[in-house]
Amino acid sequence: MNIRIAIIAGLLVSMSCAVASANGVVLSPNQFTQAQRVTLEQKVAKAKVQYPDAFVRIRQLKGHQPSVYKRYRSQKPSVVKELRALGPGAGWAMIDAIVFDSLPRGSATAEEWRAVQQGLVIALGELKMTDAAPVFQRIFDDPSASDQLVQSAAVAMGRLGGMQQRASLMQALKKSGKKRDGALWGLRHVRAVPIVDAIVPLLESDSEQTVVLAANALGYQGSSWAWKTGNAGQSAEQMPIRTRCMNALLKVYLRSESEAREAIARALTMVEHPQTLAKIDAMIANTSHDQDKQALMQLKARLSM
Amino acid sequence: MNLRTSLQPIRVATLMVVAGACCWTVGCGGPDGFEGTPDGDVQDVDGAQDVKTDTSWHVDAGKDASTVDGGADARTDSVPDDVQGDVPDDVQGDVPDAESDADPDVVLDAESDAVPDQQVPTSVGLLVVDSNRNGKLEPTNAEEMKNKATWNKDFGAVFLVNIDDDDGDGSVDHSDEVLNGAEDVKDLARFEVVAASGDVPKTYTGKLSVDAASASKVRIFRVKGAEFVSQKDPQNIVLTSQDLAEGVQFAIEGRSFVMSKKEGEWAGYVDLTHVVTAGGKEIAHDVARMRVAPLVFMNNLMKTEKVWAAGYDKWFINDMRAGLQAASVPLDVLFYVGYKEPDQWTQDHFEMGYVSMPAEGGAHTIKVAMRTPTPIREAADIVFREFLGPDFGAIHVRSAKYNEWMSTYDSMGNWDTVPPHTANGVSYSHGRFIVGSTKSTYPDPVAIGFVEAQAIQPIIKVDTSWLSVGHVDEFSSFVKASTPRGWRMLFARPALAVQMLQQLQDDGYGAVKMHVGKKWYGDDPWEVWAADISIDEVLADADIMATNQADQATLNGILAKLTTELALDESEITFMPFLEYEDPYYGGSVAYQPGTVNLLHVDGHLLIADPFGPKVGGVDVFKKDLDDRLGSLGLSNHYVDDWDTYHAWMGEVHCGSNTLRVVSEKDAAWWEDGR
Repeated sequence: MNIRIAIIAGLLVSMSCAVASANGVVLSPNQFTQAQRVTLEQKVAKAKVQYPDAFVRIRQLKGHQPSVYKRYRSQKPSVVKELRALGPGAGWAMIDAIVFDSLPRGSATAEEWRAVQQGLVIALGELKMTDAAPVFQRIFDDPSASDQLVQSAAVAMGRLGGMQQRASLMQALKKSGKKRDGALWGLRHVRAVPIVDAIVPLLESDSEQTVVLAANALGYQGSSWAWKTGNAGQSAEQMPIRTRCMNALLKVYLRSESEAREAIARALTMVEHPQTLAKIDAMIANTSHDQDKQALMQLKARLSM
Repeated sequence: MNLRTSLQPIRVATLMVVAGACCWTVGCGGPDGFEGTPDGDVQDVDGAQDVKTDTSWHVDAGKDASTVDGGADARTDSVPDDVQGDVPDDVQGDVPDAESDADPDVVLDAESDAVPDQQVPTSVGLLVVDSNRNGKLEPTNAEEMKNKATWNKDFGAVFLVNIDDDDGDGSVDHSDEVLNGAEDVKDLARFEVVAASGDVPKTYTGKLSVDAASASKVRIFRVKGAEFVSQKDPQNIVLTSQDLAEGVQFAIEGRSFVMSKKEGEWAGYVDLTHVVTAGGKEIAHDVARMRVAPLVFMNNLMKTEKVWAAGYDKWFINDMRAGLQAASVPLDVLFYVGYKEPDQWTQDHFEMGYVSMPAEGGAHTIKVAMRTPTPIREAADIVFREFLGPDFGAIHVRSAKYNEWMSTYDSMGNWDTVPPHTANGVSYSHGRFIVGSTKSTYPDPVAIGFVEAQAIQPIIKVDTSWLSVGHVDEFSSFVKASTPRGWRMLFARPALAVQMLQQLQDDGYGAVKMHVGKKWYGDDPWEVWAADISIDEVLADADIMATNQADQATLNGILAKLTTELALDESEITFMPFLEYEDPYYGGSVAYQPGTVNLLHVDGHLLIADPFGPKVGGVDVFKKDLDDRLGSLGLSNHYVDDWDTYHAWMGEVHCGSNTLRVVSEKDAAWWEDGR
């Protein structure tokens, strides 16, 4: 036991020295304002004392090593499960690794190292830790961050769901590129009428990928099963959200093709609005095109499964 | 009238093979023995054209009709008149008038051109192949002779890729030029140049050849008693007058499957041509056609010979053994001794199939394990290291430049076979191949092109991109049923799981936990955390609920497609309830409760992941549901604790096992399919 304490103490000393100068796995400290950096440094240092095990364990990740990830059926590296199990202090250990004190890379390949980078952001995001908000924001705003990291940061911001995160994600919808795509992932987790209203115009996008992402986001916004949990959002917003989602998705259904149409059908299934089938009947009655009628009949059959 | 039969045009694809298109390693002796894999892209070669081919035998012994009618040769007489000029069923294109279309240059008047003072044989150089598919060469059988240049569902000779290893040298038998022991004889199809019906002038010589496209795809042996002599050049096999007089038997082995349906690729048909000449002039000319047997994949309805599973988890193995004992099926436990990086996903390492051809007393079959295309999967090399042997072959097909990002779609759990059926007026006598593939997530194109090229089991592609692992066995399975179709589809349905949990909650059991005593874990003890969770907790998790609803919506789309494709009605589908969760790193779903649809079907017995569902009154509600749901269909359930080694690592029972099936005569007779 004494030996273990000594090892931990040694590690802490070395890690403390590293905080001030080293870069993290994803970011460097100088990407933060001084106030943010100091706050994070202080809290990390405090957590190291309070929860030393988490800081030791995080340096022993194995999920990116072939001997471990080859046991997964996907055969792909992932450290998320390990990070979830870090225990008390996990969030601060992850912030430390992301921002201040990079983990030992060893012989990790690019793909394996990406798994570590992204895994840290994902696992930290799952903790819904408000202190981590600046970390996610920096990654989200970092033009050099990969698409996957931006997406993971956006999801983490969505999980936090504060006004600042909402505003940032909604602002990103106005631009194109990885930030908008990431925001569409992140906004799945923040169910609110203004957000639905911000997503709906993207269903008209020329890009099929954007339409698919927008439809998916609306499906999660309006998910009847999620709303049934009582934990999806403000209950007063449930029906306004689901109604908006239904109307918007039905409006573009016939204009969409291929993957976008499939995504819209999926989203309508999730929204499961009680008026959907009646609306489709009305659309069938109002269309003179046989092809459209057939497509609507198929949609109706699909939603009745 | 002379003996000459009509020249009939056949539309034959000119086959050109572009080297370096892919790596396919039926010729390799294992992972270190891959045949050449030169880098290069597959190129399309447009080579289809009409060529004229004499599709029947002929001997021009004179232009006088009396030569035939009055001939004393029994063999010639045995061929009925209607043989001549008949058009094989598979001949495409216009059939011209025999006389006007005949090429006078290949019609020789034996009386005027043959060496004088010698008796001219009334038949010489005839070819015979097993066109009537009874395993025998019957030159006196009119039907056999009439159809020898034909290939359709009723007639046509077959040969095998000699892909097993009868001499135990670790290499497939077609990779060398010798007969590989007595057992190897059975793997070679025969054909014959029939002994002439009369004396053969010494000036006569025969030249036997295969078409240019087939030359590198087959090996021809000349059979002399027990001796099999490989012929160096299958496009130039010379027969002496003595050979022509006595007849010569040949054996043929395939060195390649049909690799692709692309134009210009070899289509698997070998056109044999035998030309007899004398003094530079053609005396006789005969042709015959053979087809290489495709690789046919086994399906769940076939009787089970044995099951393989990796020996990593004694609880898993014990449960598997118990279930298989009830089904009277042996379990072969794989230990991967000497492997540096083995893994437990036996299903993903290979897909079982077979090749077969007619033989006396019943079809001759070689079972074939198709190794997963991904080159980096040591455990999959077991098919070469340990399985390859007599009547057991192995093959590895992949692109030369393999895309590792797509490797999970090449795990063989993503490759399955829908059992035989008829749908929308079309018969699929050997079923259909089903694979998870989309525009952006797909198996190796060369490997899937190979499967497509086998032709017997057309491919159905479904979306598995929404899954973290991405395999069709995560949501579908096919099991025996006492229905006209003979099978039913099991299909994942998260909605049913939610409904069951909500019912329990409504009945006051919301606090009851599921997954009791089970743990999620990483690689070290400190990573372990309890998996037990109450019904209330699950139903209150908006993320889990939204994920499952999204998955259900996706599954509805796949179900709609399969219902149409397979012409299934509701009574032929059984839903399997379990929840999923989102793997955040890969953004796809994976089974949260044990994925019970990912099961092993052996002869009406189901080996299913123990669901570890919530217990009410000591009864696992999910297990009871499965017993009621599947038991009422005449299926016997056997539960397997796969949690620690498979479920926690994103797979279930099917993923952890593989199955060798018995190939019945009906299964073997792929040639009756008509594709």
